[in-house]
Amino acid sequence: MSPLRPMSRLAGVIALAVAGFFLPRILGGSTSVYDTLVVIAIFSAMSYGLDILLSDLGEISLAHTAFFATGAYAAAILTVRYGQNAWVAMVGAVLSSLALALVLGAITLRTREFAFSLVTYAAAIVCMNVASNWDFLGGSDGIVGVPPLDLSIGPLTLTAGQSAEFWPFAYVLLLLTLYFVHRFRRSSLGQAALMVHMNPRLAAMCGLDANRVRLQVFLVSAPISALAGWLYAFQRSYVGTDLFEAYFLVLMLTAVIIAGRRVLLGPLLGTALLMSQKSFASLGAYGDKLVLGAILVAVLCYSPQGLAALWPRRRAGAADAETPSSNPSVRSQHG
Amino acid sequence: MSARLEVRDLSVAYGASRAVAVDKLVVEPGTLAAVIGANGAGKSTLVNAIANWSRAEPRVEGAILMDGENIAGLPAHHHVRRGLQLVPEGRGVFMGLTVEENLRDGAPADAGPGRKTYSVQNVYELFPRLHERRTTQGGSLSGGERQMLAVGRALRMAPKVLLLDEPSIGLAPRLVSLLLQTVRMLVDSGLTVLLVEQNVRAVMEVTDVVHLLERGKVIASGAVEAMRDDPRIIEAYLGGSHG
Amino acid sequence: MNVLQQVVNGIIIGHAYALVAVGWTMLLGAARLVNFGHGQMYMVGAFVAWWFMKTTGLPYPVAVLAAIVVGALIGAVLQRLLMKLTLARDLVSLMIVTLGFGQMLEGAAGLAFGPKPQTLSSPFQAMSLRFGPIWFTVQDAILVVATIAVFLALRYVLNATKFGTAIRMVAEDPPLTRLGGIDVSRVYMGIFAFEGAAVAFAATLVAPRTPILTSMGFDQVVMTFVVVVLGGIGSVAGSYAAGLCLGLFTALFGALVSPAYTTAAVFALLIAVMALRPGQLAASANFAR
Repeated sequence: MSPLRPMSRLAGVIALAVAGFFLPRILGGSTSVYDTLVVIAIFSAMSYGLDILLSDLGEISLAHTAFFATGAYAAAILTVRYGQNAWVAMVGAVLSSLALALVLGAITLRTREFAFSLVTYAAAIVCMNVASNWDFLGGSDGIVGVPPLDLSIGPLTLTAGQSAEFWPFAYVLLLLTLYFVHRFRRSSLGQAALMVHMNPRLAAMCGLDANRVRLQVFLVSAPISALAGWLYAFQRSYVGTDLFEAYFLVLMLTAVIIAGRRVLLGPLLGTALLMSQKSFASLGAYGDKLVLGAILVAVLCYSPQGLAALWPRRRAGAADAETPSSNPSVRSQHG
Repeated sequence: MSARLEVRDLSVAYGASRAVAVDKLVVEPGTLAAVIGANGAGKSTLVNAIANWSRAEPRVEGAILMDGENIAGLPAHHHVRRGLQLVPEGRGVFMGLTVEENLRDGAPADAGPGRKTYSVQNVYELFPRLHERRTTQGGSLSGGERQMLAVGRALRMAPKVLLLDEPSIGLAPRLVSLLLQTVRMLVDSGLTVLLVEQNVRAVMEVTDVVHLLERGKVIASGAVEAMRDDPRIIEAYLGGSHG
Repeated sequence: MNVLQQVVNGIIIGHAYALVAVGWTMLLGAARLVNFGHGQMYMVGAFVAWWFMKTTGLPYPVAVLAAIVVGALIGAVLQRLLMKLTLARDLVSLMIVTLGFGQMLEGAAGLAFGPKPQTLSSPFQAMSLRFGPIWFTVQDAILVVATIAVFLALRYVLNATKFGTAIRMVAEDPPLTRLGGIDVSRVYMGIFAFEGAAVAFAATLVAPRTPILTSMGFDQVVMTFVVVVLGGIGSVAGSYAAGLCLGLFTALFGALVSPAYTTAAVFALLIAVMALRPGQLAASANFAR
């Protein structure tokens, strides 16, 4: 960011946010534009949950599809089975994802790197397995008939039934997520996470308990993805086991990695790129999978620090301090 | 059979700090040269850089000449082919393999003319203790046995130039003597050896030439008889004998 | 319920698990790499064999060989891709690359082989043998024998050949191996090719039992992971024993409790082991034993 005064910077951000709201209209306002942008907003929000864990803490959780799905299932079950409203569903989504994160966090407390990734991956598969067999969760058919979103309070009507109507909600969710991540990175937990990641010995000397920090960040990251799932349940009005599939996982990972670590708008831009390809230049379901996988592989093989690293920015010095190159903690494990 | 080793304008850096800056260091064929210096002087860094090998990621610049040919920058297995062998500090053997296995599977494809090759049997003759322990795993050997095994592994590569990084660490004085005497024998039969050591006393008994390294720079060099009375060496004696 | 039959089923399934896991554990033990594309490589192995039989009309055994060769090639391609990252020492990215690679395989397979379920038909699947209260197919018997053969061959190579010693050296200490004049990337290539070949081989032997889909294989990683962790990472004998135990567990659990939740039960077992023996996930000191 250029060294503008804080007030003008804030004004700039607000202007950008307002402009962003009108983006679908600027792009033609057709249903497919709205659909794509809503989905971009939702999937980016999902990716930010992974982002804070991966970029800041340096741990690759492969369970965030499970958190996303948990949010969606909670929304579906609470509204369809128990007739609750969307607010209750929201609370349910957050709480259930926290519960799952607590369980997973406890299991993976002392695992690192590949062990952590593997266990989270396995956990996601097990969740999928359970969801497809348990009738309460809809079994392999999933849960249909999620009602239109209704967040009305008192005289204020806040509903959404079709794509264009979902946009404000998706957009607000995205903005809140961005704000949250921004504040997280400035918070003491965010700083602690970074220190544990980049210099575990120094962190230990400062009295930081790496395991506790990891667990906390994990717990903070889960509801972000879950809220994205919550909204997705309403948007799609159907919840099924496909939410657990590797496709979402690879999508999240690619979105987070492609732009570069700890770039605030990175996951958003990454998701936008990938979803636009799927919507407007699709090669069919399988072709898109191939393309997605190829993009992930290509970015990692040729520019592991993300495409941002290819730009020789004047901020290069700051970026180097923020984005860890050869991860020293990795070497100490595998050296 | 033996080669001349020359180091020119060698600079080694870890990150932003320069660890070694040696303008020139020569080891004449068939001689034993020792590099001594205090802890942290850069001895290991120097010898690792010559072999282009490290467990870390240093930046190395400069020329390493073996019989006039610059081998700097070549990957490790090329060094082996040319006859440069390093016995690294610390872990120089495979803990999970037996003595026999550690020795068996090393030999350059074509050792070339005039290179003294060592069969596994030859190594056992040099170090009878290893023969006794040949079915023991590396991890179960004593420190001294491991060091002998490390040297044995290096010999199996038919080296022309052998680099030894602090072979005496953790060894009882009697074993240190034994090891260094064996090295001397190898030198006498034609091997060129550059030996890095903290144990100045033991080294002075076997070496031909001494180089004193301090903070990455060679501050004194000379034949061992001349260096014996050098006050800096005596100071190194007092400092180094704690090693 | 025929307990004896369940035990026989368990033994057969166990051998399948072991064979599927053997390449993965070698890769993890020797190269410290988790291959998330393992399940997709399994799927491709099955489909290559099916496609080969359909297009060329050649018999099943030839198709098996074709699948093995293709599998080895896929493994080699993966190694080349990862070489660049290994040089950059970014171990964490290596894992994600395999995940992306798996997606690529899934997409490519879908494009090449279509979304419909197919059957890999082996003449041995139809032949069955009956001994009193138990029965199994000849395919099952071949699976068991082949698995045992692979494990014995692997054990031999690792302990009695020069290449095997090189693998064990690389598994323990890559820099020291390099110092000994060995080209480490060639060793890695061999390990990757083995993983590709082994998982394809396993697929061709196991796949005839059920219809195959290009979407399968995703959950393969869980079973494989558990086998490897229970057996000790990189341990040959351990993978065999763990595979067998896990096979018996799933057969009996499936029969006594519920066939649907076996994955969850196995995962629970994994958690229990990890809680009781946290060191289990470290690279095994028993590599190649």
